[in-house]
Amino acid sequence: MLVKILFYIISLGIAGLALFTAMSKNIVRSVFALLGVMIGVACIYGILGSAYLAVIQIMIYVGGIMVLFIFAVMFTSKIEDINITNRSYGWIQALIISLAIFVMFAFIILYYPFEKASMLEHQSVERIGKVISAEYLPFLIAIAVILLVSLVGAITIARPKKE
Amino acid sequence: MLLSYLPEILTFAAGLLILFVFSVRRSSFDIITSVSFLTLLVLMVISVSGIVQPDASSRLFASSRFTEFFRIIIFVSLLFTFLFSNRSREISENTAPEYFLMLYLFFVAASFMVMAENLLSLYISMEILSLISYICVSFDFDRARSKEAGLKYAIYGAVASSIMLFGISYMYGTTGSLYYSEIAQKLQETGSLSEPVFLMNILVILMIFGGLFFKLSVFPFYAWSPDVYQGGPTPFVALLSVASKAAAIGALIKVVMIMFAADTNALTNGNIALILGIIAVLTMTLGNLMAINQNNLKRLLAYSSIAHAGYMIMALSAVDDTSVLAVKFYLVAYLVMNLGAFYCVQIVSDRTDSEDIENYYGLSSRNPYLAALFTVFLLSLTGIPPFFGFIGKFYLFAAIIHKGGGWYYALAIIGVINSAISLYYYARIIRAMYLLNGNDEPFVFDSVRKYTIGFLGVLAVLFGVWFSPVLRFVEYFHTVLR
Repeated sequence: MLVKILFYIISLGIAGLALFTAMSKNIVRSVFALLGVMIGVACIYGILGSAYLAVIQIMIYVGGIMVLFIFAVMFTSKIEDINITNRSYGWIQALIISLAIFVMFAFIILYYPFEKASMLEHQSVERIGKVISAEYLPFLIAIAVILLVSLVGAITIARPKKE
Repeated sequence: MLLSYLPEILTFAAGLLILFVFSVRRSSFDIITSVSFLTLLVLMVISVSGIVQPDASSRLFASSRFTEFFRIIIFVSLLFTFLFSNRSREISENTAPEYFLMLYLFFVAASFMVMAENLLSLYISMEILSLISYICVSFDFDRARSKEAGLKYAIYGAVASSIMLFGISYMYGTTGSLYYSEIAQKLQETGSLSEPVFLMNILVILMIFGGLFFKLSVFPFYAWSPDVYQGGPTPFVALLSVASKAAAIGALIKVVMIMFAADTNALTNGNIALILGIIAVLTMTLGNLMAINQNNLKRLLAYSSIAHAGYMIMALSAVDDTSVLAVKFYLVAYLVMNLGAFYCVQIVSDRTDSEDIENYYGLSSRNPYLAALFTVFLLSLTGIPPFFGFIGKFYLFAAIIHKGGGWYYALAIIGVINSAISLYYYARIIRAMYLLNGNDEPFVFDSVRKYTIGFLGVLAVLFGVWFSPVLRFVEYFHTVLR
């Protein structure tokens, strides 16, 4: 019961913060609201019994991506003076489309006969590590290629031009 | 087992080696291009020589004759790209080694995309391909438009691939597997057609298609392509319009034929065909109608390539063996004529720094050779009889009509009407070249390009009348499943 209440509180918090992220006029506030969303999602993972995902979520999104976001915002000069907002642009259409998508997903999720997965089976970090380094080994290599491509690309694009 | 991935592994290594060698020792564009070209040629010979045997034992990436076909298509279009990237106005000599590394990795990613047998491996190889495309599109550093194109492409791509990833996660949630064949099995077992199950499946299928449709620039996700094609360096854009689409259609064929094959289950049977058919109609019509008003030839070719993706999807909507064969045949024709058309545009814009149609006025008197070849490619793209494009389109329509049924006849009629519309805007370019007067100074370009484009032109005519070798080639590589 307590877990259920906690779940609803966190979900509401995520929804509210997500709305704030989209609606806020101040980009710095948006970024911090997004940070809250990420932490909230990590909490949901924790409540659902997937400690591994929760940790990964904190490490990658909160620790990595958000810090990157904050740095990018902070380093961009005068960004606080710019009013970036979603509110002025076609919010009725946006509302209709998002509501339609929401209703569709809600209907499907509520009525789809999902099979219940046993929670304990998936959360062992040891098992995940074994799968990644055996069955899904090609993906590890592929991620190395992604890193190579992005490094070379970033350096090439950002390199100062020769006069 | 690794031997079956030999072309990819060697290409990857060769790309790194080229980057390393030419970063340490700066060389001229000509040398870098020739080395890269010859290396890739050797790699292509190795990959078709029979050393590399298809291997279907891997469950993540399995190679077969089907994937070998796409390997060759990508190899060939890359070879042409190398020739036309050389001394291109849009690619600086300083960044040539990085550029060629990207092209080598492009092959690796595109080839793995077709080989994918698992939704996650499809997604990851598609992401690598997209990442390379974003970078290469912004390689024309001196122009703001190129950066804009790269950024737009990246944003559109992020949306499309996140939709696809969301779909994949639902697919995993509902079937408990990411392997195409296991999903097919699971879908077959889902006997009851309750409404939520049906809706969920359609939604998931649409979302998974979303990512592939983005790579193919097909209806809901086509809006990026005119801007990207206009802004990006022309040789790479030509590659994008052929090899990237080839990889996407290869992956799409596999997804459709293995995961949702027509007889798999009552759930997807018919619906996949319907979805693909509707998408094809919208794509063809929008692409052709929007191409009419374009004055920038790269934008025009972008819309035309959207329409051509539509024709291929149209044939694929028959979801049978004949249609897959037709699509593969069409890919060969599309490679020849689309690369040719893009390279004609590149040759002119390298001189005039603009792709506007005004630059083509009177081209027939300034350079009859180029004008004649461009005409051949354009007529071939329209699908006029003696050219390769006609035979390609003939097979596409034949596949649809072979399938039969009112819906397919309607599709074929819409396709034919669209071909007629496309004649208008292709003919407009031909009119500009032959009937309108521009400045009269003669127009010359270097001989490598001259012979390359001449070669493509000869193929476009020759295979239009003598297409049985192409047919044999396509049939040799014709297996969809393992």
